[in-house]
Amino acid sequence: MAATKKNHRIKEQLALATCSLLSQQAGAIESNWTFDSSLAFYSETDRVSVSTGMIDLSGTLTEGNKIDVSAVYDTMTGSTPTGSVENSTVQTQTGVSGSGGFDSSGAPTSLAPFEDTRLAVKFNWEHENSGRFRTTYGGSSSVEKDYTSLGYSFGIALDSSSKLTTYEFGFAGAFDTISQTGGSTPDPLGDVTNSETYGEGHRNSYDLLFGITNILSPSTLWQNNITFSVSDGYHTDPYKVISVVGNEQDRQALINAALQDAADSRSVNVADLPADVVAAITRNFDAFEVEFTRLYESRPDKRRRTSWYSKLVTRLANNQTIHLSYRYYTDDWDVTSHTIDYRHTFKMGDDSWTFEPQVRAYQQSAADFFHRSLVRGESLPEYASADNRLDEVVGATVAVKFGKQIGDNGEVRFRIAGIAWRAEEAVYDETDAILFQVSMRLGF
Amino acid sequence: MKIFLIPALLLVLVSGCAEVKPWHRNILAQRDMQLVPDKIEAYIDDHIYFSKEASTGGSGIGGGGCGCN
Repeated sequence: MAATKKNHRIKEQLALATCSLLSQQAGAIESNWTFDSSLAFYSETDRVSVSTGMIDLSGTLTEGNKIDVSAVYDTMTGSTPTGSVENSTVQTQTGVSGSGGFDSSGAPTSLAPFEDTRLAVKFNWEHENSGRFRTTYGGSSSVEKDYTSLGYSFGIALDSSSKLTTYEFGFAGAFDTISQTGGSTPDPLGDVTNSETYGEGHRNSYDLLFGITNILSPSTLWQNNITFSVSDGYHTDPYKVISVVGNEQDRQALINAALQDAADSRSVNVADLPADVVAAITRNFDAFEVEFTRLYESRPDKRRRTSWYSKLVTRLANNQTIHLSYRYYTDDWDVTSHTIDYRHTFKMGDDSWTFEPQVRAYQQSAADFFHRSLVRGESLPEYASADNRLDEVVGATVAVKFGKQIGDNGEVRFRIAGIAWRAEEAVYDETDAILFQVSMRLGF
Repeated sequence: MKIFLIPALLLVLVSGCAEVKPWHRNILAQRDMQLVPDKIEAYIDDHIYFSKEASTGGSGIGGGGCGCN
């Protein structure tokens, strides 16, 4: 009995000694404060380019109080799909984000030029209430010419007595203001050539998160989150439009006119035209899609989202680390998606070099109000959007990152990623992008 | 919605299986083993995907939004 008690005491002392040793090791690697910074350049083929600068400072303010402050500044330029089809009889084009909104000069186009900037800041404070219980408080803000967002978050984390499981609960709210540049929003499904405008749109969003992280072994972690989100208010993109294209009678009228021209040029009646000529002319109008009217899009004013996120982190032999995650997402707009992300980290040389390839695969179903276009003469739906991001989409990312440790507490990282999305029906169904990123971390 | 039963079932199966003492946690304390080892990379990636895809979130909540979607 006495021997058991003694063993128990030795075990406790050993645990205490090991913990303090580990915390010293962690301190040597991580240091107390960390400054991280990054420059990134994102470019889509013939579309949007974004230059990003970001800084992040995190560390222990006082015992049991950690803070994390970050700021990001984006400069965006290029052109983006409006949602309209390419052939149009409408002599109006829509400018987008930050470009001044409406522009009635120039020819109709399904791409619109834009430029904008974004400044976003984020703050997080984690307070350790006891050895097993922590609370976090966060705030965020994001400002663009035509969009502002204010957000807050609150979270609690509770470790099990064995510290093998951490239970998390989080709540977040965000208040967004959306408009075209100048502060107005168009009439949903209003004709772009003659639309009424309203004031700014407002949207409130609330997120609820329940998470469990398990330590499965000395080298494996498993995280599971369930997130519920509710947003109410203005969800429409004030720049996006949808075309009302010609119907079957319009197509037939154009075919008849073309047949009449062919008959006139041959000095014969339409009925006497050779069958192969008639077939060839008719075929020319198989993909008939001419815009007769252009409407602003319209989206529901509510959205309920639910997701399950699962992530496994494990250390293999030779100091290799795997991050594997899966997300299932569904919402009441009928969008369901699956996302898989895999990262494999290799340590090289004297472990001061890091090489990390990454692949990500994404697939989503279309929103129930997505339409490539509407048809003239048919009744208008309550909601309609031709935004290619609401179409059925598959996406893939391939990336590599190189890291080099600098001194005891510094690291430089270079990353390049290729990203591609393919939509099913949208006018612009292909988006290809490349991302360059250089980052530097400094501990002090 | 039945898919949301999967994580609950898996968690029940694995809970209590592990035997990891504090002195076995040196690997878990390393940066590569953190759930988000590179916050800046995660932020920029999330922002890109948020602006191009219809679904978002999962790994966490809170943070500045964007007028891009």
